Amino acid sequence: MSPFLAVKDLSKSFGGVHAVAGMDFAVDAGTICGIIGPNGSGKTTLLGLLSGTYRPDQGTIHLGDRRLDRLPAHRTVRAGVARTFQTTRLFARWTLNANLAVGLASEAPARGGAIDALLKDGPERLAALVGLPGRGAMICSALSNAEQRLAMIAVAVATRPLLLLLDEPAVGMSPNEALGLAQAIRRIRDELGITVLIVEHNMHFMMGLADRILAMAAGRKLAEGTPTEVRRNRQVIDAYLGA
Amino acid sequence: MAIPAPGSDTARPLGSLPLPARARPPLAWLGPARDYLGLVLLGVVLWLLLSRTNAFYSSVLASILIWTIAGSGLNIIAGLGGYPSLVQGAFYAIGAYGATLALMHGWPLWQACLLAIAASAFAGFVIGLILSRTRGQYFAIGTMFFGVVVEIVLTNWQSLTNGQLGLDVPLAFASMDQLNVAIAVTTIVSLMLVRLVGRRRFGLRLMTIREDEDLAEHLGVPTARIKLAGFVVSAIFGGVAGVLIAQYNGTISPALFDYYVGFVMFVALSVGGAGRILGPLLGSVFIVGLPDILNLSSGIGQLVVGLIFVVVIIVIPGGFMSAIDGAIAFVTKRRGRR
Amino acid sequence: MLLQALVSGVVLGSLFALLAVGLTLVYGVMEVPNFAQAGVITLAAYVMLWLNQTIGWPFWLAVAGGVLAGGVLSVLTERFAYRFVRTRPLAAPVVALGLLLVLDNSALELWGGDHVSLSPPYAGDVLYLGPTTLPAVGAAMILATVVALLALHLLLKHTRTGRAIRAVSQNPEAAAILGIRLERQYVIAFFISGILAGVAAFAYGPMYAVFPYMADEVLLNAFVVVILGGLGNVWGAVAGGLLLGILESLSAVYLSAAYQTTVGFTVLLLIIVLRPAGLFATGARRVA
Repeated sequence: MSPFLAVKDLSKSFGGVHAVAGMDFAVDAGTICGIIGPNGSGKTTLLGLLSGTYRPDQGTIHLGDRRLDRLPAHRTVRAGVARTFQTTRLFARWTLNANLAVGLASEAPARGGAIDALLKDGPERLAALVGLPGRGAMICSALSNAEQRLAMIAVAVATRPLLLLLDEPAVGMSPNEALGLAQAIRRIRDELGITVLIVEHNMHFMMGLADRILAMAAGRKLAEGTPTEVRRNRQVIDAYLGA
Repeated sequence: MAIPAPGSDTARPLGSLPLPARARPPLAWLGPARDYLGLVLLGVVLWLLLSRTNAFYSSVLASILIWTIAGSGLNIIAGLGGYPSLVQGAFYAIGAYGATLALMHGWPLWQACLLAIAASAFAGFVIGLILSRTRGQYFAIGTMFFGVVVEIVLTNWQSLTNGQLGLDVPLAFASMDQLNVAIAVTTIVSLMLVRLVGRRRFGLRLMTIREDEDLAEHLGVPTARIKLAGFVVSAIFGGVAGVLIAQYNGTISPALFDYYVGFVMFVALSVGGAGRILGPLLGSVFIVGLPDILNLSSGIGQLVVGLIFVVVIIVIPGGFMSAIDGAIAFVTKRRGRR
Repeated sequence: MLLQALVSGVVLGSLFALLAVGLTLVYGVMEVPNFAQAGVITLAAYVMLWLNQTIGWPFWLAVAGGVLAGGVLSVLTERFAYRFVRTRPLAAPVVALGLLLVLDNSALELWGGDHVSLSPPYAGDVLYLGPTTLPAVGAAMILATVVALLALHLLLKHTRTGRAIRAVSQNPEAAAILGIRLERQYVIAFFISGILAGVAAFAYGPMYAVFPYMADEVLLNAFVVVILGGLGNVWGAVAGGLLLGILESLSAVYLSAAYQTTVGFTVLLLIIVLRPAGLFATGARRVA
């Protein structure tokens, strides 16, 4: 049986800089997987490759049996991969419900699971699931920063993904807000069965949340394992300290 | 420096979804039928004005309405999609020449119309494909050049277009009354189509492209396909308007369709209210009607018109439609207070 | 024949380069397609004529006055119009067209629609370069372009102002954080663009004629050049200008004069399809 997400020998360079250089890894279904690494280690590029934002120079990405690395972004969404962005991106002049409607209108096929049941009666329950109950009629730009970050996740989930990619979701959040975010991410995995891949700079945030962690440096995989294992890894510590 | 998201300055989106919660509008119980009924009534009024006023006002109104048709098309790619197309005048020209040439070869009117539609759609498809990788001002400049190209072709392809001298249009409508009905009906149908598209998934997707194209793509919107489709639809409206202007004028020549026309059509839409159903109508009244009616001498007239473009677009970013919204909101608020 | 065409191509190319550099500079800092530059050229030419023939200033003084007027007018378009639509890409073409109408028709109202000629003291002179001839007005065009662009080069490379302008066109947000006052750079970029338009008026007026719509078509070519070179790329604009001038001049000789402009558009088309960021672009940051 093929693994849920399988990445082989994935590489991408921009103008001679090897942002991602020969990444190999796999993610199991139903896990929350964290990708950590210092700034410029290629995390966000990797996420862009997985979501179809960029096309890889070489290597393959498979989601189940489906090959993703040749698809444009909107086809990747249909295949079951949704993403959020480092800087908040929403249709800011629209209401939250209107934003969610865009996600709902993606041509993703029914997944036949909890997500279809949740979205059957419109977007309200999804908004509540991420921690934004009753906010549907509000204009997004009027939401607080933390609420906007949650809203961005809800909009991505509205496309009914199998795999959700989050790019530094906790940016700009207070510790309390980050706690709410972590709960929301857990609910998305537990209640909707969506596999989550998080790119995060904030190691602390990831330690309590992720089942597996993959550490990157200079576009390569440095270490992989449970949070505790990775935290103790000598190479990871060195990379973070800049040694 | 990245080009700002296209259309980040347009008025409120058309569709019902993205609107902020507002007070219930009058006659809301009629549902969507309210807007369509209103448009039908408007059509009747326009037809009465066309057929009952004197020749001068009637011809000014006819030009306004024909521009409204072309502008409604532009409203789809530029108003909903946020892409500043300056080439609508070229589709207008292609429709006019296409239908006229077909009529000259003895085709019946409906076939001539189909040819005009097909020709403008094809031109829209080709231009849209060529410009598919451009955004923002690149797109604006690129489309402008296609306006110039069409003008050059019309002027120089003597054997087909008779060059500068132009063509006499075989009149296909039995009477002026019939033509007036056709103009009024087509105008209203155009406005209704924009209303319809704005509430459909296609319109919603165009609006997501206007708001943030990259985000839209990552939410599953096939942006390249939607933009191209929007551009082709816009072109078809332009072509249909061209058929009518040829019939109304009786003669056509490249001077009627210089690249500047596409530019001014875009201005008309912006001044009226991009993304708003009645935007093209208000804009056309202003751009086409005002200089004619005020009968300004050409130099001063153009100067004043230019000045007004600049002032309106700076002072009322959403165009006249948003000014009307503001006025209505003001009045309702005051009434509410009493 | 070929040499002669090359020489006229360089003359034409100089004009394109001069205008394209102004457009691209303004685009670089503010991202507006400045169609109104055609109107600035026209008015600058008329001011030269008026100072020279009506007021009776000596030719060179009148030219200086006209060039300065170009700079001032260009700044006025920024101060009174463009600055308000800086963040509104859909509004920029509207404002540009409005300004063009205002400027061209001001010329029409003030000086009438006749074609008149601006005659410099060297109007009838011709230079002989081996087998080819170059009218003195053409030589003045090349010379004016070289001098203006050299001065611009020195300004951009070696002054604080120049560095600030380059910083703004590369990354306005970062430039603002570094304490560069954007407003000031806008004014300066528009002023330079206006000065270049004035220089173009001085060089172009004597070659053709002065009338209210004299620059509209030339400006279209300048936009081809700007896209050819990559929007915002100054040296791309210079190279693109010369390239297009020579191409058009050759095609006028070997193909047909009627389609001279079409050659420019064909080039534009190829560029948009094949290299949307411009022929000399280093990165594709301006387009999708």
